Amino acid sequence: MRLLEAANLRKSFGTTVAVDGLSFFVDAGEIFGLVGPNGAGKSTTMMMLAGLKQADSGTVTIAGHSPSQRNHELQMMLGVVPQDLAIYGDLTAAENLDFFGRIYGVQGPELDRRISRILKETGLESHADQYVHEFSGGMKRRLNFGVALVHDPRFVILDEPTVGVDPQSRFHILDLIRHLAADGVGVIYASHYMEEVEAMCHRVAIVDKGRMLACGTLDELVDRSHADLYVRTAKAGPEIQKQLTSLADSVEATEDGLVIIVKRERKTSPGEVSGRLEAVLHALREAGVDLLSIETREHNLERLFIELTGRGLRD
Amino acid sequence: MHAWQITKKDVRLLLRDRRTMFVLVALPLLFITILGFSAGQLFSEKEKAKKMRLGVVNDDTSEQSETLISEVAKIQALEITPFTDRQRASELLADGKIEVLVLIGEHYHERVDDLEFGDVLYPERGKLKSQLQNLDIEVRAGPFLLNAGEIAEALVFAFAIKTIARDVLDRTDHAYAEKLFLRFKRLAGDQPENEQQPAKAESVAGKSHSQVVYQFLVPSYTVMFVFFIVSFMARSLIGERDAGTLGRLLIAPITRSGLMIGKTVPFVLMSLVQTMLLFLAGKLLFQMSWGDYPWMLLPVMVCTSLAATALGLLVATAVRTESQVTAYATFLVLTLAGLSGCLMPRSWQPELMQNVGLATPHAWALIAYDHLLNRDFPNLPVVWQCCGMLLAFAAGFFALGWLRFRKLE
Repeated sequence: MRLLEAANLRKSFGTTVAVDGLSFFVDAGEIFGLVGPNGAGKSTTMMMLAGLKQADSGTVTIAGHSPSQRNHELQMMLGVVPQDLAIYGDLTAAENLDFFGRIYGVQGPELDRRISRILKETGLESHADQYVHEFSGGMKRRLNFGVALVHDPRFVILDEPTVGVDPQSRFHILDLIRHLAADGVGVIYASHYMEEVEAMCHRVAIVDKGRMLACGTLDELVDRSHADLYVRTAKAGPEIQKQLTSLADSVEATEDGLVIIVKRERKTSPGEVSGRLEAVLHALREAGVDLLSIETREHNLERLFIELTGRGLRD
Repeated sequence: MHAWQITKKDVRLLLRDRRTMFVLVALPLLFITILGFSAGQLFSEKEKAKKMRLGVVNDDTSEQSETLISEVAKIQALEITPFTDRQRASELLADGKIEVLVLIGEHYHERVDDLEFGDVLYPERGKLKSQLQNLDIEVRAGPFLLNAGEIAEALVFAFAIKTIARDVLDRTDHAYAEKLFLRFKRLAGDQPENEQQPAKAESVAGKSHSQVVYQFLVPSYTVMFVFFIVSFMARSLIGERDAGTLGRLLIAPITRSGLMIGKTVPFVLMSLVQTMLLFLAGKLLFQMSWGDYPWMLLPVMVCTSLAATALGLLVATAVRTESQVTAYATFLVLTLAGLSGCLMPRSWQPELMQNVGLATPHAWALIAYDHLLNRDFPNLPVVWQCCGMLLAFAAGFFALGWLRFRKLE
């Protein structure tokens, strides 16, 4: 069942185009990953989905409702975990959950039951009556996550919910997200952490400078059954470097020597790869260049991400 | 319903913030106490200053001249200091330590003895034609109060006539003087001598000087500090925005108006409690009077709190950072307090500034409090008019705040 559908979303701030024609969808029970470098437009997209920012053009519908129209039914089915903490430091964990629960109209024994459940799920049961400003970063993140779930939303927007937390809290939060999806909740998940997205998301969109660079299931985007070959050598002269460039996919000169990459794509046969590797090794032997190591590197989302978005630093 | 949840949450947060409670309640009390003390000194000095300081050098030392001095000394508005040294007295006059110097020459009693009854009855024609000069009395005024010399001259002459008239009549026609004396004694009857004299320790409307100070200070500083709520409201909204919780609330099933009301009500309540506590403290600690219509203080308090919180809402939606709150809100609150007469009585301000002050809600609150607390016969329609003006300010600020609040992201 389709929960969210975004079509040709566009948003500018002055002359800067933050989101430039993004289109995607999220089904019930699906975790949809949105990855991109800083300034890619992820948070702006999330805010438009939540109804906190109005798109310049394009449409968003969540279960048939537009977030910009402040529909009560939509507000009740939407849970948002913002990138920054959004909880009250001078209230206790239980008071935070109680307040946001009541804001969503949950009351009485049902509210008490949900507060207990969320405190348990987020591992904050023994800290229920502790002021949030006394919490560690990880505890705050978990509560921040829990607050978004107190009204049992059907669609959850997660904007980098694990930023700055320890591995234990991260695993806990990721487990919670998996459970949400298993219960049929649609999740859109923005993150920098490729391994998280790769481990959790059913489909992924890579965005940069507001544009969609790739979108699909992980299998569609990444050939995880194959690996590239990385050959490291001692320092070598320019002539052998030139010769190697014609044999391998890339040759990089580092401080220690050379890194020669022989890529293994889905379309290339194993024989072709081993032939090219043999040619590279032969050329190195002939030139008397010392071989330091040969490594294999599996294809993954991070590799694809870097390939698509480049290695240049972002603001 | 949802607005109530926000109100409840904010009240809880406010009560847990001891700094806010300190600034809103303890700090004004401290201010009032310190300023009450220093201003009390100022007022009592002022009372002294209201008296014209008159130096007297009496070279005559006769019974007549002593009688004249003691009669003049009965005037409450004069503070008389006797001197024996003319030079010293003249120096003090030049320094402004005394405003007027009366020099009674050694021939005073001789000049008095020389007078006929006709001179006293018709002073403009006879031996008193040159008035004090004929009596060997000289009056000098200091540089700071030149006009006082003329007044003092007339006064001393009048008292001189009063004190010497009976002696001159007695000397001229003893039988007639005796007859007049008996007649006036009969007319005076058994009336106690001091019946008509006002109590010396009382000043305005039966209140002591220190009470008068607090009658002004408590409402003035209460009004000023009530408007400090502007700063706290702005900080609350910025805090909500910085904490990210405003974003959560904006996507929650609560209307903007509900959110705005929910955020405003705690501060209305807080400023009301603040005002009541300060007035209560004024009564208990400083013996201030709540006037003849204490119940009328309540609408003034409510309307002032509404105006303050509505201004707070407007400022809260206009500033974006804590440092802007510190700069703009504090400047605004202090400027409005200064313009309106919170820092000094409105009556001390020039007329132009009094009129300018009416552009602030503070001034209307102060006028209302002045009628209720300091007037013997408070003009209640004026108090209601002030409440109306405060409500108009509240409505205006609220409308502008609402327009800005709707655009919050």
